Amino acid sequence: MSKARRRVDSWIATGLAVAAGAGLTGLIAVRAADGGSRAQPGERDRAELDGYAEQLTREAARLQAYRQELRRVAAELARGEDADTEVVGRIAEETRPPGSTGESTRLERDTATYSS
Amino acid sequence: MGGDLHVVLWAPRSAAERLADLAVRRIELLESCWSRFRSGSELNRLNARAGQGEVEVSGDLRRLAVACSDAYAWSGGDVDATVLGSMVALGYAEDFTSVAAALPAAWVPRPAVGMDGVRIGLRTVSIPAGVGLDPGGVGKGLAGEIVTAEIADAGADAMLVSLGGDVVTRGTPPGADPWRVSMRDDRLAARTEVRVLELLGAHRAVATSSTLRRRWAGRHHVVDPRTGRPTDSGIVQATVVADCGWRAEAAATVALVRGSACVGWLARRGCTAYLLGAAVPRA
Repeated sequence: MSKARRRVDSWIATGLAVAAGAGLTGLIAVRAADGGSRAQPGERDRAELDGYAEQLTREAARLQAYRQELRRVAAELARGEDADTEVVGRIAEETRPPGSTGESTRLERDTATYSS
Repeated sequence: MGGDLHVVLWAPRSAAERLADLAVRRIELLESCWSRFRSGSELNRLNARAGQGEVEVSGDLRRLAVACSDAYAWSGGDVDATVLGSMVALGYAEDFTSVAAALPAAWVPRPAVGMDGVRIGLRTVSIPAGVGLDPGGVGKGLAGEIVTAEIADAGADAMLVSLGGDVVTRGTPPGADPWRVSMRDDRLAARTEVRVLELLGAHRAVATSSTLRRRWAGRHHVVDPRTGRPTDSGIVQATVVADCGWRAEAAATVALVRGSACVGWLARRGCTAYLLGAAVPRA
C-alpha cells in the first residue's frame, strides 16, 4: 500500500472517529437535556447488572450452604450408626398477604411428623 | 411453582428431620431461580436479555433450559416453553391471582415460535429476540426430579415430593408398600376421588394437567403452542404416570393438546394415562 493511500485511509478513520465522537456527544447532550438529573442509560444498565451479579452471588452462596449441609448429613448416614428409621412429612403452603401480587409469593412451613 | 409443596420421606431417625428441611430449602432455591412470577428470578433476567446473545446462567437455570428443550423434542413440539408470549397475549402475564385484572381488551392469539432458536452452551443460554421461556409443568417435574435425587443420594430410604399435586417418588417405603396417590375428577364440584394410583419401583412420577382449573374469561392456561389458543381437544383432564417428573408433565400436556389421538403416542413411550373427556359423568 502506498504512503498516500495509507494517509487517506488514516484521514477517513480519523474523520469517522470524530464523527462518531461528535454523534455520541450530541446524543449525550440530548439525553442530558431530556433527562435532567436522571442516570445515564449506561449507568442504569451497570447498576442493574451489578445488582443482578450480587443476587446471583447470594443465591450461589445459599446453594453452596445447602450442599454443605447435605454432604454433612450424608457423611453421618454413611457411618451407618443409626438403624432406626422414621417417616417425616413437610407441607409448605404457597401463601400471599392479602392484595399482593406474585412478587411477594413465599413459602411457609407447617410440620407434621409421624413415627414409624 | 403454583401450588403447595408436600415432602414425605423415610430415613434414619437421626437425619430424617434435617433431610426433610433440606428438601424444602432446595425447592425454595429452584423457585427463586425459575419462577416467571418473581421479577428478580434468574429466568426473568434471562428472558429480559432475549436477542442479546449468550447469557451466562447458573447450573440450575441451564438444567431447566435443557429440560425444556428435551420436552419440546420428546413431545414433537406440543410442549413448548416459548409459549410465554402466547400466555401473556391471553392475559396470563402475572401469577394467577392477578390474571383477571390484567385481561387484555382485545385478544389476538400468538403462536409460539418453538425451541429451535434457543441455544444452550456449557454455561450459557441465548434466546431469540422477542421470545421468552415459560417452563410450565416441566419446571415442576424437573424440580421433583432434582430434589428427590439429591435427598435420596444423601441417604433417604424412600421419598415422595408433591408440587401442586404433581408427584415424584424415589425408593419404596419400608414393608414394600407402594406409594398411594389419589386421583380426583375436576369435572365434579366435589372433586370426587375416582382412583388411587399405586406407585411401585425405584423411581416414578405422576402429573395431572387440567383445563378446568385456572380459568378466566372463558379461557384456560393450557395452550396449544401452534395456535396460541387454549386447547380444545375434547380431553379436559389428563393424569399420566411415567418414569420421570418432567416427562409425566409433558405427556399430560400432550394429551390435552392432541386429545384422543395421543393414545398411541403415550403407549409407545411407556406412559400410563387416565384421560377425562368434557362430558360430566352422571352421579
